[in-house]
Amino acid sequence: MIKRKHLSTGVLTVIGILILLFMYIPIIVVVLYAFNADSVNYFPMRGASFKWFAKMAADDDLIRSLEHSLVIAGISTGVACVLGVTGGYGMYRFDFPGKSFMNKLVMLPLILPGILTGVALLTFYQAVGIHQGMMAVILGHSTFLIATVLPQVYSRLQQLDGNIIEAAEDLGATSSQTFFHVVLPNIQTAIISSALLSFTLSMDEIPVTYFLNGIFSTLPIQIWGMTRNGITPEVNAISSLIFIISLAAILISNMLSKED
Amino acid sequence: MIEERIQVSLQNIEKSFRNQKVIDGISLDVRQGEFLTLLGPSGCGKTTLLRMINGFEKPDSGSVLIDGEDQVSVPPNKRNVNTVFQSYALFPHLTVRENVEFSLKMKKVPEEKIVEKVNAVLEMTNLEAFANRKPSKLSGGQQQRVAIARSLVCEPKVLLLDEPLGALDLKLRKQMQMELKDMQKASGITYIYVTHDQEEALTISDRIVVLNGGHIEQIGEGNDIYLHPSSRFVASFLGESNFFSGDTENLSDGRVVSLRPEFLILKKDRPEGIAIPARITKVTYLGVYQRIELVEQNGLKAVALDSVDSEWHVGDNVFMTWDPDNSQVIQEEGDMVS
Repeated sequence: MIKRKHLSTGVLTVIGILILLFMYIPIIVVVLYAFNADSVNYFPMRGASFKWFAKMAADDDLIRSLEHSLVIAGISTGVACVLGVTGGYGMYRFDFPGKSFMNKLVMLPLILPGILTGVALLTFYQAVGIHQGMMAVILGHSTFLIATVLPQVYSRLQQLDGNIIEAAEDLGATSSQTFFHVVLPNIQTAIISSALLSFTLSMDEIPVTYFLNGIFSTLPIQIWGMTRNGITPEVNAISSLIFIISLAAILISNMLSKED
Repeated sequence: MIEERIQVSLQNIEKSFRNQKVIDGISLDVRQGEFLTLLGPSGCGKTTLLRMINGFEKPDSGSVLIDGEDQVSVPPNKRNVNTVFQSYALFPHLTVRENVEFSLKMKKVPEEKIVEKVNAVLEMTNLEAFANRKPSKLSGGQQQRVAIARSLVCEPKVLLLDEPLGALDLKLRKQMQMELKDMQKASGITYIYVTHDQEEALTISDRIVVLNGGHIEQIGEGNDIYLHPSSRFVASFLGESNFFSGDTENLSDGRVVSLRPEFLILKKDRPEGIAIPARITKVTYLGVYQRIELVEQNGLKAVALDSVDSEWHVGDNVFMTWDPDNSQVIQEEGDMVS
């Protein structure tokens, strides 16, 4: 009996490791070859160099697209946080008709394929007169990022002892004092964690951005364009950078949400 | 000192939740400076009544008056009432000191005054050593004190306590009961206390309001209610009681009489006056006295408490009697109120 248990645990472990390798070996290869001295991907690598990082930094189009991405991610995350926190708090404190429906509706952008969301938003914006461009992209990102923030904030609120809100009011606090001094400090980690996740999702986003951006480029779209002509080592360099920063953001986000 | 001045007045309060009547016409006057307890089983409406006073529930009809002023348009954060919640509801992100000074900070009291008042309250509740700890690092009893300290620093006219000792172990609970009683006497603040523990109510209260099914069964001092319960419910809820119906001589015509076990006298030979035959079914030695369970011929059970010197055995046939002064005629449900 024990032997069989060891066997199945062993098999599962091996399968688990294989899956992880399957997922991460390509990424590791990309990071490795970012330091390739050659411009062709020989195996094994014949020398190391930082020149692709330098080339990347000198690529104006690439840097400009990075700036666009940062602005979009920054503003969208900010908007999503404000709306997500107020929305989550509203749902937590008040019962209103359609509340359980809204609870499910909010998750929709995470479930729908990005292309669907992109086409839907484009159609809607054209109908109301919002042209493709920076504003459209920011609106689009903000919309689906709420789905990242609101559920996390709402869930964190439900873990609190609900009496602390009444206790605050009992002690003389106004509604806004209660929110800023009692509620907000206790959902801090949920907000930061979902903000980091939102920022990362926005930086990496392609389908929605593609439909809404018009003439300018965001980082992932620029890279995508670059790969059309074959994977240059410059692409490896920028991809490695994105991978490392995204990984850091998600790890911190994960740590913070585990703290609660 | 308990004055005759009425501090809180509830008038004809009615409240329903989802078509379920929770408070069914309650009127109650709370005197200034008294320790009043709302006592009753779960679901009797005692917590709801408390929440009408602090403003977190609104009555469907009827009024709540504090110091003679109708509180109908006064929100909880503006009432001169503070609450100690059953779960304590301490702010987890703040230290003990910060929890206690919270209300003063919200009201923008000057810094030096805050420090002065908070220190005084921390001293009164023996929390000075824990001032910089967060609630998660405190024991249940210490958290309890912080909840009280936090409310007392506001110097409210009325302090509401919603089963504050429920989560503590027996010894600590008894200790805290005494502390609360002393604190209340020293401060002169009106305390309105909610509990389902009748022993606790008898220990600490000046007056007890016995609640059942959304209405008041009886109000009075503990001693008075215990010896003169007005209904079967009160007699059973507060301590233990025997119930005898009047189809034996010397009892009033068909009405029910309540008798506390300590007043039930057992005799080997038929006595004069009241004499009900019964057989002993169980004898339990309790150190201070012995508890004797009996059954009458008609199957009704009774309980007596007797000194440990008396010799009683299971199976003994005895006569039950008592001094009519110690029994209480009670209202049965359905009886006309005389």
